[in-house]
Amino acid sequence: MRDSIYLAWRYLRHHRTKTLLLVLSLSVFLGLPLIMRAMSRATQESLLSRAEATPLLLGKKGSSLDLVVEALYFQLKGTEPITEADVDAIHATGLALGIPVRTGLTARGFPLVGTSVDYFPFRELRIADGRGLAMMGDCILGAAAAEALGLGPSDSLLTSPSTLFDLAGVYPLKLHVVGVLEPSYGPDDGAVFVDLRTAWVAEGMGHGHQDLGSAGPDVVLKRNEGIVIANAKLVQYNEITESNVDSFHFHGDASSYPVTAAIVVPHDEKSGVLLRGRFVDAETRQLVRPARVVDSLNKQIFRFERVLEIVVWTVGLATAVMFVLVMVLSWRLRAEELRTMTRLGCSRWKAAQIMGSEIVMMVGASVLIAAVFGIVMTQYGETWLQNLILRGA
Amino acid sequence: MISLRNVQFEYPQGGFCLDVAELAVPSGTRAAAIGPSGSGKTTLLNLISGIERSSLGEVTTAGVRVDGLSTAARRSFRITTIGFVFQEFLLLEYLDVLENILYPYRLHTELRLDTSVRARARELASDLGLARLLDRSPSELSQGERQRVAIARALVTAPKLILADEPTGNLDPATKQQALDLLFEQCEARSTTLLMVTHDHALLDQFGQIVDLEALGRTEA
Amino acid sequence: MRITNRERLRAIVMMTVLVAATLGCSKKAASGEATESQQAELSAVYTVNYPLSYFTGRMAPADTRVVFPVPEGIDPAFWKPSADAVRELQSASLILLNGAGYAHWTRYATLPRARIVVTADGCREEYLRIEQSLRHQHGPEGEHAHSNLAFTTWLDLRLAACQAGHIRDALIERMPKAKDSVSAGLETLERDLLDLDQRLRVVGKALDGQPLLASHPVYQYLAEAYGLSVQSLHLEPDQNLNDDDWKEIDAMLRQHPANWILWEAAPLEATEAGLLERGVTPIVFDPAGRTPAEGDFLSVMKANAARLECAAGVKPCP
Repeated sequence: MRDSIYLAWRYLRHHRTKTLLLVLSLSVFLGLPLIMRAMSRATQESLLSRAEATPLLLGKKGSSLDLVVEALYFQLKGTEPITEADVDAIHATGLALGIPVRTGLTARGFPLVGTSVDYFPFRELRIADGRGLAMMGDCILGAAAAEALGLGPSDSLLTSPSTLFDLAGVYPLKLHVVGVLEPSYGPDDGAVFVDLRTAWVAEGMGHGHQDLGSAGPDVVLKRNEGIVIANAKLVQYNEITESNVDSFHFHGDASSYPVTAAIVVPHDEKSGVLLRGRFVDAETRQLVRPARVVDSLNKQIFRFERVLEIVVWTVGLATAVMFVLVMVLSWRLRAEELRTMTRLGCSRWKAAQIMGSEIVMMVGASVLIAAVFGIVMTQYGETWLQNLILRGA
Repeated sequence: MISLRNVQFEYPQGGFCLDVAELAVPSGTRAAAIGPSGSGKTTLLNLISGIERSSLGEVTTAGVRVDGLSTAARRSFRITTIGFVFQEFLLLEYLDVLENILYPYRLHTELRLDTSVRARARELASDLGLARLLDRSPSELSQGERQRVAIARALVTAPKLILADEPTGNLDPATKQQALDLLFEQCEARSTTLLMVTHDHALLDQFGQIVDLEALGRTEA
Repeated sequence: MRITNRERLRAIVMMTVLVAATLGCSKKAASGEATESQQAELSAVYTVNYPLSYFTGRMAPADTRVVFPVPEGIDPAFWKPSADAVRELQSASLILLNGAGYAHWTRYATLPRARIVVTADGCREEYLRIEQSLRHQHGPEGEHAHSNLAFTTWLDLRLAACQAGHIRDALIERMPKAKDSVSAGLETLERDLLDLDQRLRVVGKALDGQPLLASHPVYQYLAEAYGLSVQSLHLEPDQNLNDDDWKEIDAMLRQHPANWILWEAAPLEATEAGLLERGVTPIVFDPAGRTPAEGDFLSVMKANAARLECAAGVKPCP
């Protein structure tokens, strides 16, 4: 048996290109349906578990799927925002805790999420290094974001401008990294968290500038009875620090400021029912159960998956047939070799053993590659597939 | 070494029939089998080696009635008793020279490939001037070198009989004689009987016995 | 011993009742679980100023930890907590804010929304506004400006009682079992606050719109609630007044010829002398925003009221 394996191995090694192609195509045939199914299952479960962990979500009336995707998974969908007043209204009911979520900007490619300090115990997120948010200007990095950016406490991070070529647009805001979260194996790992007001400042809705009262004449256009009008030389701060945080302010009524959505955590089941009842006929707002929305998405994915499976199995079958054809043709081309083996006294069984060893080794390698690929894909591909689904949702 | 008596053989598909009344090749002889194409030279070798079984008559090789053996027994007999040298060499491109020489040992469970066999193979290779080519692929060798590898493969199992089917057919005249000299030398050194099929009448005077298949069993010394 | 059918029936009924009661209790326990766990977690109540701390202390159970985190010597309205201090605040079960923009730091600190109660919200339609804001510096807080909203809401004692009411509601929500004691605490506190309110109303009536000055613009709610005509300056009790200050005082007196000037703390002798020369008597009215060196909120406010009563001639001077 060892000699058969040896001869088979030498043959395969000599014809490495052909062997590699056959092994890879077999790997795809063997692995793809199983990997696809495993990844899909894992993705659906992951999507659903996040949704199930979010009792209710308040947003502007419209696509509930877009709302859930943006607020839970931080995939930008251009959802129309509600306001801070909506979050206050939830608190005022005494029935639930409202946790604001503001998305829209990024920081070096990672979603910037403005929220309140209640978000972290709600999502059971723990600090791995540093501390939690304390003041405007602080930011906390998800584990994956921190690793990818190579940042930790005491580092700083710029928000990305909302539009690259808009000269009148918002300047990047320099954030101070105060903490890094422990991995939670979800969308939070890839996010940059800031206080909601910091997000507003980053979006240009709030700002800080040098004191107008003591500003020099080169900055002041006009000073008249307590009203000071400044010119463009007025220094606006692009960083919130302990020394200038006092100067940061928002114009207008903060309760009208935008919030992408509010995670609503009812105090108990009855409160949840009461709250849902209040929004049944709401004209401009919707209170959705994310689990139901994602479940509906998963059902669509499941249907699509079934169709895809048929296609994959068909292709796989064709691949298997091709493999058999290639092997048969290969043996025909090796007829001379087989004749020589016979003349040299090799039995048919031995010849079959040698040829069979080639097949077994190729199939074995294919299984191994499919298994490794499967492990890698289920480990890392779940996030990729999740993002793919959410972007396309 | 070789004895055929009233042997008749016909392929199942028909069209050819070998009929040998009597043929004897003593041990240690250097014999050549000649005849025009289609006269049955390869068939003769197949009958002697047990690849084919005669429908009638007796075929005795190295003292064994080959025609009376089962397929498995003939196979076993073949590998332990006979060495083959083919016109096209029939080396395996995916094995290096040393592994090509050792190839018969890979094909049979009865033959054990151990260090003594490897040593013998290296020695044989050395005798045939292949010592520095052992890790090469046959595609990297000249025709003459490939033929020497084929000869080494035939001799590695220490056979009693070498059957060579036009082993020099693809060689140029200079290389041809070299190969023949080597073959004769090795056979003589090992007291191995050689029966070689050839078309080249110019070589006949180097053989001790001529088997003319056209004469159907008549032999010429 | 033979068990009769009646005894059997009684046993079944009792078992049923017992099971039902257990289920009912466990359901209650389940629905009240959050509240009970909250009660267990109500380990600390943080306040942004001393009055709220005092009110809370008057109502909450004795083992409740009431924390007023502002260090001594710092004006709580302008305190700038460190990140560590904010993190400590985040661990509070309840954070009591004053309202009216008091404590500017609450605008930029990250605090748990659900545990915040803005005590003065809803106690009146609108907060009072300061006419002008002036940037200046005193103490270790650094340069700052008074906010556009007047924030010493507790100087209107009825408003203070309303704030105390909101504190009561917040405490009961988190400690339903202590409802009776908390409510009883509020009752006695309200009595004390409304007594003071009544005394100040009498003062207001007695003064009948006579002009008063104030060393700082911190008496808006006092003035409005009790009908006092107060104009504010920006003077420090622990600093000598310079020529500009005196000029300002003189200018103010020409428009608003006050006989008294309210001070947050006793002014320096020189200041007092200068004021007396001008016929203006300093009256200490401690806004009680910080923890007093002696006494408590009530004793400080009672002393304030007594001094005003003396000035108004309502009661003999202490």
